[in-house]
Amino acid sequence: MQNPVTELLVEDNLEPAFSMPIVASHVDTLLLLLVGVAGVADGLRVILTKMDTVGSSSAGGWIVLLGGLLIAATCVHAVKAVRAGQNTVAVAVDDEVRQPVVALAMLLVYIALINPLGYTLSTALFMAIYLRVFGKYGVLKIATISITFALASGWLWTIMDMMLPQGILPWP
Amino acid sequence: MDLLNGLMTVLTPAYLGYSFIGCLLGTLVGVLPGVGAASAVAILFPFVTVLPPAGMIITMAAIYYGAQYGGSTTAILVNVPGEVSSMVTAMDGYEMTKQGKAGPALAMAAISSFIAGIVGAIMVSVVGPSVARLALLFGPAEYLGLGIFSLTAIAALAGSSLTRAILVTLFGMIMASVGFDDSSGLPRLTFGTTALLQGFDLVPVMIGLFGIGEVLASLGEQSSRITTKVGKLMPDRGEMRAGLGATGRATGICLMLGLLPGMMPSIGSFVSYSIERYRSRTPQRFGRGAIEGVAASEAANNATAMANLIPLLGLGIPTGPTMALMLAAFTMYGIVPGPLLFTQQGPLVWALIASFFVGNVILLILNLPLVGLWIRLATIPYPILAPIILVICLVGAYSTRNTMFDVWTCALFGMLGWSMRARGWPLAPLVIAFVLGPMIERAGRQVIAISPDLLLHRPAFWFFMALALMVIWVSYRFTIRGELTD
Repeated sequence: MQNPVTELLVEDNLEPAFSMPIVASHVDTLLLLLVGVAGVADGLRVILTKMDTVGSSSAGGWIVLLGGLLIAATCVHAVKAVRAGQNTVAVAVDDEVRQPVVALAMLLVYIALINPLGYTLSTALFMAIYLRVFGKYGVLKIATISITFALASGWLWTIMDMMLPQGILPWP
Repeated sequence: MDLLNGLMTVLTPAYLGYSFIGCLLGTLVGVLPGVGAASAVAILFPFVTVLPPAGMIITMAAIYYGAQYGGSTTAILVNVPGEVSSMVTAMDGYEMTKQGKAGPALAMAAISSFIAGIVGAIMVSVVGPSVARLALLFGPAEYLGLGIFSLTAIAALAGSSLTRAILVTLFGMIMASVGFDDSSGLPRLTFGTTALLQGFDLVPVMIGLFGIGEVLASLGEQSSRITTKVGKLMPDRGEMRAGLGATGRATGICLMLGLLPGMMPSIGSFVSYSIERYRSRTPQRFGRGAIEGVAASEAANNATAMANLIPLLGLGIPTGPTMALMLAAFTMYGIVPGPLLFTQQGPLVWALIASFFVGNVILLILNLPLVGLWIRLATIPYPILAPIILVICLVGAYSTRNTMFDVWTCALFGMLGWSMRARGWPLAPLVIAFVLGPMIERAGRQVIAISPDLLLHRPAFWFFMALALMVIWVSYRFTIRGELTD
């Protein structure tokens, strides 16, 4: 399966789709460093503040070890990337990036609405908007698919004894 | 005798039903473009937890090899492999479809998978108990060494960049540490939030990485409509002979390779395909519709998957993401894979092994006549399929612990899985590290508690360390392309 690839343009004579600050283009490195530092910090917190608890030093020490190794490995990775000349100057944005971002945004809104609106209503809404944005179907087809799926799936989860949020509707 | 008892258990209507449902569901989900075997197991896992323990495990195994077959169907018919191992099948399978030989390609894929599955099941029944007996001698030092070797092997084989794989491994181990520490009861990496006290559960993480992540990654692709009819189903005599030869070789090689941690079906497929092309007198046919390519890839797939079960059942070590889910399924019912599994849960294990024989027969009978149905499913427009899969993923994540935290976890890891794929980071080491990290921590802390000098007196630990170094060296010498992740 071809994965969507973000093209990193290093030639200066090419016009970039848009420019990104160098910091943003090393987001992987920054995130990993952040996790590593958080690990070391929290591990030290466990060791130093819970000394009277049995096993605190090994509990905290493990996290410090992992965090420290992660920081070290991240630095090695960053140095290798810089030496290999991966100083990004641009990122090409096309449908392969735009579509997943839009879908992800819709998904996050859907999750946020599950509790207040309930499974059935939020699912029908999510399906309808998704089909409209990505499928560009007509209103009738969208309504048919969304409502049918929301109701049928809600019924299926009920049979399987899954208690999903009801929200404002009395079912499932 | 144990195997016969297992067969008698599985041949009852209830267990036959579980196998049948698993094969059907697995193939149905595996046929969907963009959903591989690991994704299918991850997505369907929460829904089979309503079954009794033996039923759930048998169904999950059937889903796995059903999904593998389903994935190769779309790979052959529309050149949309559901996972990396199907990519190898697509290389020649789709070419055969373009030449009007879709039927023989599908049939060969089914027959190769069946043969490899049966031989693999025999091997599991013979070798599995022996490995379990050996593992009875293992203590904390040996498990520490085995865990480190497993992680190293998976990281080394996961992609072209060892550094990235190591980073992902460490990240996975840190994620697994979020929440309460088992030994001391202290909260770690919770940062004062009550939500993080419960930690990340494996199932939402897997569903996010392999379900949502796959769907997001597939969004940019156009799904092809199938325009070629399947036509005649069976290969002719020459094709059958060539295909069966490749099947035998791939099965033999991958049953050995599959015992190694990190040796996922995708790697087995690439290795077997390369061997077939190397030994062929007409290597130029490969990539242009050589049936040996299809046969080798499919047989390698199944053989590696079956062999992967031996470390899982005998040692409790998952060798890939799907095995990690199988492990989660076992532990859900308090069944601990490892050296005591064959003694304490003998009837369950032998029923599971027997179900592999039955499942492979069901798959062969089920899938060839139903090819037309699978083709129709594969042509459902992706804008309709994608939101359905996404909703099912989220419901599955929610059903694990009935908490919205798991739904958010699933979405977060889905975003992570997509961006990792997009930026060329391997996924498998993260999952395995998530599972093995706590085991390694437990073993390491036991060693320290007993005596750090313990390691000096346990040669098995140093044996595994030597193996780990050897794997790293081999991966540097023979770099495998970054596509080899499940």
